[in-house]
Amino acid sequence: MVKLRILADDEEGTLQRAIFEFSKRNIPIEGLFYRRGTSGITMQFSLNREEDAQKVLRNLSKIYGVRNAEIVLVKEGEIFGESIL
Amino acid sequence: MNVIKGAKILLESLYERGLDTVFGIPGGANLAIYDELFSSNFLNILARQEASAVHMADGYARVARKPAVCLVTSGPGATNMVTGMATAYVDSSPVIGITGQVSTRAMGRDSFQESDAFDLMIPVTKFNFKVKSPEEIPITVDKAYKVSMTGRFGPVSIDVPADVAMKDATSRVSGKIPELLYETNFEALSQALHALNSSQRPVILVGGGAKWDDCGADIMKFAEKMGSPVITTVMGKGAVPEDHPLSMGTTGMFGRWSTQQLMNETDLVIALGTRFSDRTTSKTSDFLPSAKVIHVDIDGREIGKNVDGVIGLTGSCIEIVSLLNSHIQDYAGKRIQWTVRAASMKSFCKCDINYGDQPLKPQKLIYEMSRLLPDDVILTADVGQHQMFAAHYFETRGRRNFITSGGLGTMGFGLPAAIGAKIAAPDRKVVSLVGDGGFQMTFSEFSTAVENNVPVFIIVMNNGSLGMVRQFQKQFYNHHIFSTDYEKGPNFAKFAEAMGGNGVVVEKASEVADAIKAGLKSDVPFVADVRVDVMEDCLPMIPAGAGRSSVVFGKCKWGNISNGEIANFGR
Repeated sequence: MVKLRILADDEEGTLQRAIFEFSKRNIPIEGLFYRRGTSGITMQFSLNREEDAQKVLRNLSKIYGVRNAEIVLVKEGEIFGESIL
Repeated sequence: MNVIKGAKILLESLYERGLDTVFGIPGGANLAIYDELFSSNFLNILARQEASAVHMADGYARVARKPAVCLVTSGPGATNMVTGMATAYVDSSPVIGITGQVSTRAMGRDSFQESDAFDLMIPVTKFNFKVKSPEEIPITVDKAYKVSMTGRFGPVSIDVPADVAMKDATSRVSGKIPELLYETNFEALSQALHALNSSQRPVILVGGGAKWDDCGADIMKFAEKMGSPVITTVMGKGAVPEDHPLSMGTTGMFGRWSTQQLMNETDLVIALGTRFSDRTTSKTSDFLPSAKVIHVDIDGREIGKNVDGVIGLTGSCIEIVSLLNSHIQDYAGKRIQWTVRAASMKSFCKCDINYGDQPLKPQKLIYEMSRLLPDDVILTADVGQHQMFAAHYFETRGRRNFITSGGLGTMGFGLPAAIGAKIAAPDRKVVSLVGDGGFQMTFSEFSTAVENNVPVFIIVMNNGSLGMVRQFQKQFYNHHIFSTDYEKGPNFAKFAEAMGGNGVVVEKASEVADAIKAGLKSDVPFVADVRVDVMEDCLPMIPAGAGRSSVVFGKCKWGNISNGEIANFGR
């Protein structure tokens, strides 16, 4: 499983726009975490294939308000680098 | 602090950014904005359908090179707007679309004329906004303007609920015009210069991005220094003068076969502002068999998207062409053999289309348009056979501009885009070449042109059919011509007269020139209903997804000469 993490300004529609970047390329999303915080929003997509993540990465980073989009290593039981256990 | 209504803040915010023209249709949810528009300095154009209003704004933006505003109501107003916004999005046109919305207390209740305009616009805009209070409006307009005009242009929409537009606020309109930033990446510059200096047979491929930069003169200087032929995509047509000796015309699915030959032989393509769409490349594995590619684009996402292994330079065409030009040696005298070969191919490609045949051939119409339209004409082409005939045969020389829906292929685009273009450039002649199918999709806008004294000249290439679809049925579906021929076609000249304009029906080759002259002289909107031969296909054509070897030549003379003869061109 490959994880893609996106940090963005808190603009309405950024989540929907990010999801469209996957659906328009027929890339299935296996999991999604979303968090709204004081400094913006964080999204973490789980995908099956690394090439899909690479394909969509540049497009995600071009969405207005996105500060960073990257493929991340996530340990089991963690979301956004924090333990959920 | 002054108390100002949300609608007034919206209009003032737009006006402060130099946006002074609104194309749209009022309705319940945007009436507060229209009420303010009444006493504003905006030029207001009342369209007949919302998609057309966006096409008008799109045509305006492509000529003025700045955003145009489209204002529609909620529900069907917003859903009708989607096609126009999608058209602008694919062709990178900076339209700012404003949708009225039901009031915030009615949202989510399936209220009358409620549609989720915000989510509808997501896939067809660069970004979109929903305002929740009048105080947010100035900053939202700032953002919308910035997004639409930064880097690769594109449409942006703002959803404005009725109560937000009606509510008073104490916000002042921001006077700050956002800084226009765009991404640049010249890391591959030395690699690009090495490729330019070592190439023996370079080709410059010009796409629509170069038109937004208006850098045709710089491209031709670069081409002269490089000793390189210049080819355009359909979207790039008009970026460079096609009467220049190095200018080879349009390539792609229906392009000139000489351009296909050159692309097959080149060892280096310098691609300027093109995304290498499937209409340009056809089968990608057959495309550019022996060439390196330097890909210049303002949008870094396009680099390497459709063609692999490119040398990518991200930035504006005008900046990068100037940079490359200042760094390369002068090859004009060193690539003579290649430029002579290109010239001989161009010369072979010039076929005589001054047909006197009956029934009248589409090529004859394009021949006369090419001959008679002024050198600063703005030609908008709709979508279909006539568009490809024009892309292939019409010569964009001088300041001629060619505007078309090249990406989405939206039938009905031609006429409203011409109205927008004429409003942006009232001193230039604006001609719209349309098919009878596309014209009937938006011909109610002829009335808009009459009402607003916008004397556009519409040339209907009328074959009584959805010609391109018919051609596909003929070529690829065993001649099963079904649901493409109109059994009863209107008389478009009488239609024009009924709407308050003028028109003429043309049935003979000998009548074409006089009709064009009459249309150019007319001070009211004018239609030339030119009845052409439905049997005439637009050829040569490479079938969708196929390679060069599957080309259908028809009577194109490239189909009648051997590879040996082609090899001797210019030698």
